[in-house]
Amino acid sequence: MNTLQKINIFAIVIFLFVNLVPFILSDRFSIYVASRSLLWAVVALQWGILLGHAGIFSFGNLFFFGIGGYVAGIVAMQGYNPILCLMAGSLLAMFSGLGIGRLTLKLKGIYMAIFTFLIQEATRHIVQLEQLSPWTGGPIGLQNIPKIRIVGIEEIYTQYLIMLTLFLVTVPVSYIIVRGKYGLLFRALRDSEDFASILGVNIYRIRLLVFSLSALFTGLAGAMFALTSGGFTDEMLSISLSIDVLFMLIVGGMSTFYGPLAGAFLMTFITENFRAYLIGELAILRVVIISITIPAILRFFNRGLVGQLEFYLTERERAKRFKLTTP
Amino acid sequence: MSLEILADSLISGVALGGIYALAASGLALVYGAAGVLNFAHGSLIMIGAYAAWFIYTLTGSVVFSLLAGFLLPFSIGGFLEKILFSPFRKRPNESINIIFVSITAALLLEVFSLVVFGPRRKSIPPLMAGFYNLGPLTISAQKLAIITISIAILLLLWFFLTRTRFGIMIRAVSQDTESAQILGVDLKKVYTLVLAIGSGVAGISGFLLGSIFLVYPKMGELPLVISLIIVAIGGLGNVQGTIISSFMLALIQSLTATYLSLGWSLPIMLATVCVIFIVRPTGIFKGRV
Repeated sequence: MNTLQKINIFAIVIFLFVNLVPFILSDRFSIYVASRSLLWAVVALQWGILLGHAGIFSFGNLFFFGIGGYVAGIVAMQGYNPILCLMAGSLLAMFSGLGIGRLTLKLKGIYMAIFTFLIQEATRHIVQLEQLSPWTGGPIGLQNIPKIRIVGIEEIYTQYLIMLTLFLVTVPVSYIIVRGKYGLLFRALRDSEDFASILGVNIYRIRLLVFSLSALFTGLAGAMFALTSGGFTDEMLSISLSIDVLFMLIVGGMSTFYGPLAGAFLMTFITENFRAYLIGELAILRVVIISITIPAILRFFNRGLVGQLEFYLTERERAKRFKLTTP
Repeated sequence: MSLEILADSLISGVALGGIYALAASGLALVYGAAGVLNFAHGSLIMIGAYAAWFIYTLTGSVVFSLLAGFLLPFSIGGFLEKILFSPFRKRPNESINIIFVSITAALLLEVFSLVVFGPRRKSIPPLMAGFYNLGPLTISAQKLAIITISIAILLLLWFFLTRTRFGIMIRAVSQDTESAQILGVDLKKVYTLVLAIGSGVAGISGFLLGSIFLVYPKMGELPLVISLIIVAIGGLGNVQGTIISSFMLALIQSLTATYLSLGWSLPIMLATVCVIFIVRPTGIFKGRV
């Protein structure tokens, strides 16, 4: 059994643990935490693929989350079918991803960072505009979005099931992409752009593909969030939420596939359990802890949790092989 | 009547453009020489505004508060480079890690000012009261003071960059890091200095902004966004282009605010950036500092 298989089995065990324990405990709070973990895992994974694998410096991936959520919410409030709302939200996110990619992917990476950051901030201002408040709700945000209902199932379980579907749709697709031919191509691009392009990799096309796919899935996550929680505010486009998701990536290790997922599970568990203590003065303490930990992790532990595990396993395997060949 | 409104909005645009030019040229300088896309720039603007507010309410002297608004961000900027950014240089994922770290620095500075000064908004009293009559136009002395101060500081910055030893070193590093290093420029010193200077200039723009608007922990967010827009248009690291495009953008903003509404100014600025990215992907002005 090689390292990759070991990691995969480990990941499946963790996934089952995260999803089965709430049902064994069967209290509403742990099911809520599980569904939030699944949601943030998807968002963090899509962002991690861009930052850690494809080498696209997107700093405003929550823009797609916001677009998906707002569009789905607005369409749902006009009384359309939930499936149509999900499609509208995620497709619009994908098309905006194509547009942003078209503008910035041919430029130096730093322009991507600036532009995505700008567009997220600008969208946060646009949705707060007075003139748009009949649609976006202005500063209050969308309220009373009709939630998805499945007959005979309690609301909290419906929310969980929808998030589970989201996770089970997007994560395997992303896995196939990252581990497959395209993943190899865009890792080659990340490591040495010039060399890969000499070998005939079409940089722009591949980056556009992975960027718009990431936008699609992040938009879908946003749309599902809007349709299950019943509200969507400009808080979802704020920098502090971006920092939270980035923290998940950095803790888990963003250049591994499972890193963002592990980081999201861990951080969501911690924040949701300590949310009660995070009001007022202590919220400041949280910001301080996060902003001291991020540089520390990046400097001294830059592989993250999963990266460190992978590193440890491959090194052990290599050491074993080395022992066999030399006495 | 409508001509007077137009003239008034143009003058506001020039005043705002001076402030933006200070903020954005600091950011462009830091990116050009030190290669840091400093997301803590907005927070340094805010720190400068608080320092200037503190001294201004204490002494009432514009010169002293300008000095305070320059010196506190100056020292914090140098400190940030020493403590936070330099450990990440010459390591894998340098630029992306430095961006992350600068975002956390921004958060820390915001929290710091929230704890020290409290959430209540402070206002810096107008630098000069009264109006001047120029033929049919009336210009408020406040705007005139802002325009004078910002142009004076920009001239000082230009003098520093072209006539002093350290300024020439900074320009050399931003044009060709390796050759500058071979010729004996101490990179660490230049990086620290350029972060300090860029932050100090940003702090002055914070003081001027605070004298028009209010001073509060999150006041740096919008100037950061606007400076990023300006820097993207002006060609990254190009100070002259940055100054020209900041006046251009400020005029666009004040004209939108006059004829449309204030909320639309950011979307319209962003649309301008999109158009410029389509037409000229590397910004309007090419070249370096």
